[in-house]
Amino acid sequence: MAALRDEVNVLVVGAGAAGAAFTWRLASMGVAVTCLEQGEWQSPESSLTALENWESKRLRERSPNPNIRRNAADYPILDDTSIIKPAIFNGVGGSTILWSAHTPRFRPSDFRVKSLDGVGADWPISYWDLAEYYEINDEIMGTSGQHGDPGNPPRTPRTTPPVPLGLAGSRIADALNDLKWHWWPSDGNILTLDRGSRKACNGCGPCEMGCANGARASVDITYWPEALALGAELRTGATVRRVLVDATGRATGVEWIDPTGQEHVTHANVVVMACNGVGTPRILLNSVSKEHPRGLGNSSDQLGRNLMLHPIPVVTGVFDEDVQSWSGNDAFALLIQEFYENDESRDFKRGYEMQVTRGQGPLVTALGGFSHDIPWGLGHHEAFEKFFGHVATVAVTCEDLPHPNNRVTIDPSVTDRCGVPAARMSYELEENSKKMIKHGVKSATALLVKAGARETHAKPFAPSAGFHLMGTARMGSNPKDSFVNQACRSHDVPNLLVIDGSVFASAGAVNPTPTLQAVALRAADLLREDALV
Amino acid sequence: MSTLLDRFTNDLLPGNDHWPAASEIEVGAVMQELASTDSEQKSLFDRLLDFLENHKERLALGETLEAEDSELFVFAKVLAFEAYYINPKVREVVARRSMYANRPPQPAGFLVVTRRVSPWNEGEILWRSDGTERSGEVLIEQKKDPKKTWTVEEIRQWRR
Repeated sequence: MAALRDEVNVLVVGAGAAGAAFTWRLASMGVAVTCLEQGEWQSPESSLTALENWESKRLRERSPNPNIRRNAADYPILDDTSIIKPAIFNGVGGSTILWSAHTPRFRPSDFRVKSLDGVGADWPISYWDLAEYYEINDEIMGTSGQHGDPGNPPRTPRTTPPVPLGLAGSRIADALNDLKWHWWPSDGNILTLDRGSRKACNGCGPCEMGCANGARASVDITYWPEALALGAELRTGATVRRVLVDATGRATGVEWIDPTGQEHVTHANVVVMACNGVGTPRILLNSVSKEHPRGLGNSSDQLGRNLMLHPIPVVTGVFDEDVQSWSGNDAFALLIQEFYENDESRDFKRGYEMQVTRGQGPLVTALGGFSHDIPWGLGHHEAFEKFFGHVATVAVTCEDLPHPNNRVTIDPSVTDRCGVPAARMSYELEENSKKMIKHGVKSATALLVKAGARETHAKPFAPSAGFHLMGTARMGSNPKDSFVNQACRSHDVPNLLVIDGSVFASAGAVNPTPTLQAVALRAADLLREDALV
Repeated sequence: MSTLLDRFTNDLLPGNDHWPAASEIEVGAVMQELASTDSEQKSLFDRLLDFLENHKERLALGETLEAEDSELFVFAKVLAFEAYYINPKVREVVARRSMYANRPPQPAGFLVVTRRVSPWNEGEILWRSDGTERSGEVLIEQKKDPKKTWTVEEIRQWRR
């Protein structure tokens, strides 16, 4: 069966957080953009949280791990060589479909880790290059919070007030004030007041299962409707196999397969990869040609390397008071950045942030929640009653440093439904991370005890928390040690862009989505400014 | 086989004055139904049944499985807990024994009971300069008036 061929102007691969922002930005400037997405639309009405067996669904079709979920659009990610497992979603909206929408920003120092602290790699851009784009993104996504945080550069007033602290959060805020540790109400893409067709958060808990009333943003309900209204084209069910190049080494388009198995070739003037820190290197490493024998644009051998995931140790405190920890958006209410910046008196470089999580239903609690362990057998029911509703968990997001052996490769021994070789994640904790984890667990434990917890339970890292995928096609000024330049363009292939978390030169110690969306918006502006589209 | 599954699941989730034993709400049958939706889970469930059959003379099936095949035990425990805690009778007990409402999270949501607490250091600028002139300028401005309301236009000027 011959491939069907067509031609477009700008071709974006991946309709997640970055792809949506980039497409919208170019479309708003009148540029013709087409996006290919291997998954389908997820209707907010399909949120599973209204079902009696919603917790069962959480373990299965809404599992964040594609190897467990195994939806039609999911591709295998071999993870037996990684102590942290992948957590992504494939569909319109990408991983914002199952994210918890916590949106702190990078700090200025995060872009200068090599210059300031002698580790990792500097970005070729600064916080100040992105500040305007953070603001644009906050407006489109809808951001709750409270401006005036002295721990970060100024930002504009937030769209709505912050999410409520809740009973456990209030206790912890009191404890932070007693300890004189810096905290601030978190920014989040969760509306606390109605805005257009999106309703205010009603505190139901499991944000990552989808938000039936649209309080929690995902780009399928924010960027995409606007981008499509501006004339952008979105094709779903399009599994991209590889990026094509001509004899001069320039990208000419992509080869993709539709759900019927029909092969397509779509030619484009510019190809933009936005498939996340695993999906993007996977496609580019599969795009081998005579001109690019190690994968497209990979003369530096940096493609797939420097995978950063944010090790996340978790400490759960148990309170005598019923703090109703099943209520409220589950991942955040306040942000603790007391230990964020580098401190030479510590035995590790860089730092971490802490956030208070909640929203654990009965089944998740019984299975041990984030870090406690409930016995089976005779003591089970008593232990369940002790924990359920009575816990708060402090999650510690540790800055991850880039290491070339932490990486994404491809493994042709396993393929997806279209015959495309699987990605393999290889990841181990470095010594710096181990020391930081130890410090973070100690801080989180001290905080919970100060807040009144009568016992605490710690896990050194959450093995299922591979949702921050960064660094695998990193940005830099030197083509020998980076994959893209400051405009997100490949050093080797000038009309190939990477705009997702792959381009992060450093990981910061915060959730990466607003930063990668700001990077994508900026890349769109630079493409237009340089008259390349 | 159901007797063996009942014995095993009751080992994991025995009953008491408040909570039903697993066998009372047919957890074994629900486990089988849940596992049947996925070929890998079905295969593991069949392994569980084989294990129980091969060890039926043992009194403590839970302990035996945990000791002899920890991977299979973890699978069986998660599946049994899943079957138990999605049962309406168990959800009723959860609601009676806590402040939780016996209903799904949506559409009603939950009231988030809270108190108002303000950060202790609202006026002390804490972020670290990146060494650029822009950092210095913004730090000075922010220190002058930490609660100033900034506009997008002002922030746009920061771009190089």
